[in-house]
Amino acid sequence: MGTQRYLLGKVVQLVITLFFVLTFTFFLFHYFMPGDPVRTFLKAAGAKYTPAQAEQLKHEFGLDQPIFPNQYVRFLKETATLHMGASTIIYPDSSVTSIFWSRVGKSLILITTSTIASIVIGVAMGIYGGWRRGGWVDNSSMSSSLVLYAMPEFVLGMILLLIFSRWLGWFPAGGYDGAPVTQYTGFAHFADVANHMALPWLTLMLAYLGEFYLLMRSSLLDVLGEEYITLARAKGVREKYVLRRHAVRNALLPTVTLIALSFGFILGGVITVEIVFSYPGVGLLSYQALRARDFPVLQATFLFAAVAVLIANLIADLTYAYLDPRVRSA
Amino acid sequence: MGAGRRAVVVIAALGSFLAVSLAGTALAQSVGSSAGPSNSGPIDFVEGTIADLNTVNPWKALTTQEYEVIGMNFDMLENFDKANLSAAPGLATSWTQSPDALTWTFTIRGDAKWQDGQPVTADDIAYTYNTTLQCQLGNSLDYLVPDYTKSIEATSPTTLVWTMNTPNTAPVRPPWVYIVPKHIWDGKPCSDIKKDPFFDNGKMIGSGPFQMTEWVKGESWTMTANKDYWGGAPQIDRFIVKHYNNAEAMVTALKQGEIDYTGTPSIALFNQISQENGANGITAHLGPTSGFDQMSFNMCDPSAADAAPYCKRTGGTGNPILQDVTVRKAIEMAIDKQTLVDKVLQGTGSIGSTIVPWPQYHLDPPDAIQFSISGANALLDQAGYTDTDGDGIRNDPKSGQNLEFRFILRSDSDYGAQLGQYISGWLKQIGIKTINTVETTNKLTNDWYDNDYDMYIWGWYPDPDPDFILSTFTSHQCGSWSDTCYSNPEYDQMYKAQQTAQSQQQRVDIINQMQQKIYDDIPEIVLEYNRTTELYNSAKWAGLEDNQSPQPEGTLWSQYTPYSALTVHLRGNEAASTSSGGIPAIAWVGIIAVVGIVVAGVIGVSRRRSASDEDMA
Amino acid sequence: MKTETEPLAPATTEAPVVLPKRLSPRSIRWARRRKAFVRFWNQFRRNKMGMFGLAILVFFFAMAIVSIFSDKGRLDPTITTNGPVLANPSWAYPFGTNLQGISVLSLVVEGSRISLFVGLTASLISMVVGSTIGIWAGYRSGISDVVLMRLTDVFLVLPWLALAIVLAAVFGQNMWVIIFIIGLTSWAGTSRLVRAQVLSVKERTYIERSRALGGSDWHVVTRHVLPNVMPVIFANTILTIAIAILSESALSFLGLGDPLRPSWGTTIEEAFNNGALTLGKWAWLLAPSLCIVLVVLAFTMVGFAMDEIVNPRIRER
Repeated sequence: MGTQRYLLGKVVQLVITLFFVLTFTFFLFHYFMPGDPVRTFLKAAGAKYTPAQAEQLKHEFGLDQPIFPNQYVRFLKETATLHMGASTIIYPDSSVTSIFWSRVGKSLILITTSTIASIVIGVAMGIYGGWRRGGWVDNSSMSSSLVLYAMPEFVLGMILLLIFSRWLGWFPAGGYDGAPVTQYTGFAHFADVANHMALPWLTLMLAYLGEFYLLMRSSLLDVLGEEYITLARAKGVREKYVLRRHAVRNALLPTVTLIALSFGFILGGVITVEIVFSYPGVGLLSYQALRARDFPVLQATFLFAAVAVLIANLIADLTYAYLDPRVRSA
Repeated sequence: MGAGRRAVVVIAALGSFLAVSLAGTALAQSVGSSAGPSNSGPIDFVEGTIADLNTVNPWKALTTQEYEVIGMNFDMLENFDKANLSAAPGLATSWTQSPDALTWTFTIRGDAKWQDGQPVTADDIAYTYNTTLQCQLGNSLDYLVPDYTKSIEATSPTTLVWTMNTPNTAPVRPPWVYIVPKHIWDGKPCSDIKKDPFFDNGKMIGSGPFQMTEWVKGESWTMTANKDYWGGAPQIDRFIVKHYNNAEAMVTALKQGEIDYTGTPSIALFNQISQENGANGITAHLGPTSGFDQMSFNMCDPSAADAAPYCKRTGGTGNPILQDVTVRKAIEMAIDKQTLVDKVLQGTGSIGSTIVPWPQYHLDPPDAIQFSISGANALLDQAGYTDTDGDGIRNDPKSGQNLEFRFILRSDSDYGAQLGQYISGWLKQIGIKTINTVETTNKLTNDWYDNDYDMYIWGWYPDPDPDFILSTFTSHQCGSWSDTCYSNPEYDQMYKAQQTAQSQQQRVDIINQMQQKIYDDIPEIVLEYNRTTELYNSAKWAGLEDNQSPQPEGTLWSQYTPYSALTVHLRGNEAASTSSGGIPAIAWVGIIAVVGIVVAGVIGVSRRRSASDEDMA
Repeated sequence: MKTETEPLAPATTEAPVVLPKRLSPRSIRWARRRKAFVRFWNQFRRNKMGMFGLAILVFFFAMAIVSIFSDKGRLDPTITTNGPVLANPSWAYPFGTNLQGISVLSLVVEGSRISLFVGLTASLISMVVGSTIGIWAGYRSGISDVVLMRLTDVFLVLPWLALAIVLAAVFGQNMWVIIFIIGLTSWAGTSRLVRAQVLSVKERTYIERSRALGGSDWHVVTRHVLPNVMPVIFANTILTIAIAILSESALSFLGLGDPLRPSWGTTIEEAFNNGALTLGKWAWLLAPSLCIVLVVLAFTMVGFAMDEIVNPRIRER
């Protein structure tokens, strides 16, 4: 029952945060935004600016009503039902949700697979590094992890692009698949996508590998510091394997928390990596919306990013609950 | 599971992912090498672009990319002539003007069909034009000259009559309005037509040589050949455009054979390939002037007697010192346009002078302003703008203020910021200080609507007919298309005169005078003309050079004339492979084998280890 | 007097406190602080990683100072009109030139100033805001704690780049907006850490004693809590600077950097968007990249080294 209470608390937290994010978004886009949205819309539509048209559009957008509560409530209602307006600049008149639809899946595949791989490998290496502290493996892993940590994701992406696409020609320079020139189906399509996704995937995986390695290693060292002394008194080498399991279990807990904190950064990395590889996901869309100052799309990408990180955190909390017996028995 | 086991699983997953990914490479390689005239797949001509397609609503089109698609999907009453962009037969095969010059009669061809099978008639054209006028649709409204048009009617399925109230050559400019099918749009209210996304609603039904059949927003769009096109069936099956986020990836794709053509390479990449002289089977084609970049001044002075109506209504914050033409002339004199062409455009352009770049109408001003820092300094000294407070910046003799001007550069321009940087440097040398800000197009648009600026840099890709670009300097375009809110009654008169000129020569003369007037009054400085830069795989494709437009030196794939789409074809010989490197199929079999062995080995080792684990429990 | 000390154990023997001539509470305090600093420095000196990082930082700070006094004409394309465009590295242009013929080395030197300034200022804001909130929440407890911590959690979770993008879109793109944005998206981490530290300090008896003696909150916080929390804050700030520099480079890469103030990030952006990769102008791209990596690495190493010295848990290993 402790798990339930714990998770309930986390869900409540999520709802509060979501609410805050929505309110923040609203005030940012409807209160602080510079320039007249009606004017921007008219200019983008290529129409001449007449006062009558402006008034009519103002009414359509609901801008002639007070900001709070009318416009605010309207915003909440529309967002909840996924009616997030139409793009004004990038794909005029196309609904924001339809633009999102094709992009979201591509980003999600990229993010989830690379993050999972990064976490699993980083943690595994971190355990090994913490265990065999001081060995050449540990030292070289430490150095390379530090370098990876210090390198911006897009720089890493450019370097990999340089080596594996430009020089070796093993992978294409960007994109999602060869469509529509090539119309593969089934396994061929899968291979084609994998071919295009390999480098951005590798970039994202390596970019955070170093950080997770360092986190797990330091976490494990903390734990070993506590228990190792007492347990070292116990019999021989074989116990080490059992110890390792206990040590790792305990070290994983703070690591999970710290890894959850890095989801925000991972999302940032996705944006820059998608730019480098022209990978048509939500990250690239945010960039395009930013350059065009297409506010409806910008608003949607921001909300998407916030919600994605919130859900990822919830998953991390679930993992924490699973790993920590204290939560379960509380 | 122990850490070791976990890691093994991941390595196995990684290995398989790698194998699959490399399989993709092998696949790509095999397709690339087998594509050719003998294969059974569709013949695709693939363009790469960094300019995304925003809309395919014919009335909303603004960018080259959009016109490219719409121009291939739809027809016009008259097409742009390949050689000089004047009127050529389109849906109309011929036309006559009545003796009193007020009525134009067009004969509409009988063999044109909509892409849904229905025949095209004069009714469709009349419907399109009248709807455009009534609903005030789009940027091309001016081509239908609402002030001079009395009526446009279809008197028979093959006859269109356009009646004017003043003699006018607008009907054969040609009017840049695309014809849409009446049987699909008739009865729809204006607001619906304005907002319709067209493709999303399955409305890309035109009469042109291609039809847009797929659009993956942000990634690519596909146009399929219309074999029943009245102008002849295209020799390719599909025209595909792939969108790239940066010119890098795009040019790499061109080199690797993934795409066949691009009209938007970066200047540096274009020059690099130019220097290769076709070594890799890629031709670099430098085309004619496509547009210009300008530095505009805020000419709105609400207190002036002949200020534009919008300027009077809205007011403005333009620095009054800039109202003095001497200051503007000194600024133009201080700009080394040749350096801008050499350094910023890297040679892909020419020095700017007047606002009409097209050869048929362009005027080379007889006494053009030459670059001279000392000359500019002398000019300002003579006019009394000396540095009275010793801070290195000249002062206005009347108000004592420093000559400090706000200078806005657009962030989403390719090289706008660069141009601005150079100009600031030169202006500093003549004692003028610029306060540079970088703004997005939207923010600049807002400042411009408010007349809240001093100078900024922007650009134009003028229409083939100079009427539009000339109109932007008329006083009633302030608040609409006017860059500067320049307002001069004499100029307004000249504009009307050229619209109603009786002969081409008369029109050319008036247009020359207008250009000279703008050049002398300097509401804006035309910095340079930029030229089109195109790259294409000439080893694989032929038929592009023959149809460049205009001629003799034209753009290979023009936004105005879709003819290249009709004549581009594969070269007879086997396509030279331009893909570089890549793992041959046999190699990836080997790689998978090695990976498989390693994975198997590791699993085997860990099995043994975990066995001993259990022993201890 | 023994001067030898063990590398990992805290220094047990020190030079005696030099008593100031005028004995006042304040002068004694400062003497103690000086001693603490000397002790810290001795430990830090022995940390190879930290010293290496520090050396790199000294180099780049020197570069930044040089850039303040360097001739701005080298960055003005109207003055360097003879510079070859996109030149390859040579003796005259060690990293080649960019699209306007400006030496990339000049850009890198100039960029050091901006990048470091933005990094330092942004993390300063982050530290001040985060520490204030963390101390307040940790010391006050109760409702303030709950509310502030919820707020902190919200900001911790928000994806920073997505937030930065919308803020920049709305508020424009100049250096100060960037600084504000980075500060806004990074204070939460500091806040959490500081609060945890304050909570552990609060348990110590001298706090209780101080309050029993009638010490006001302000007194307790500034005299007792703050000095004990400062080392952790400081170590954390160093790491925050590293992140701030990475953030600035990412924002510049997105085109949000101030184009009138070239930083390493804006140089990378310019290089990338002008085809440096395809054109083979690696130096243009890699020179500023290398600088970012080195500086961030240096700050991280120094931060880790400081963390080792200052953080009691690690120290006892």
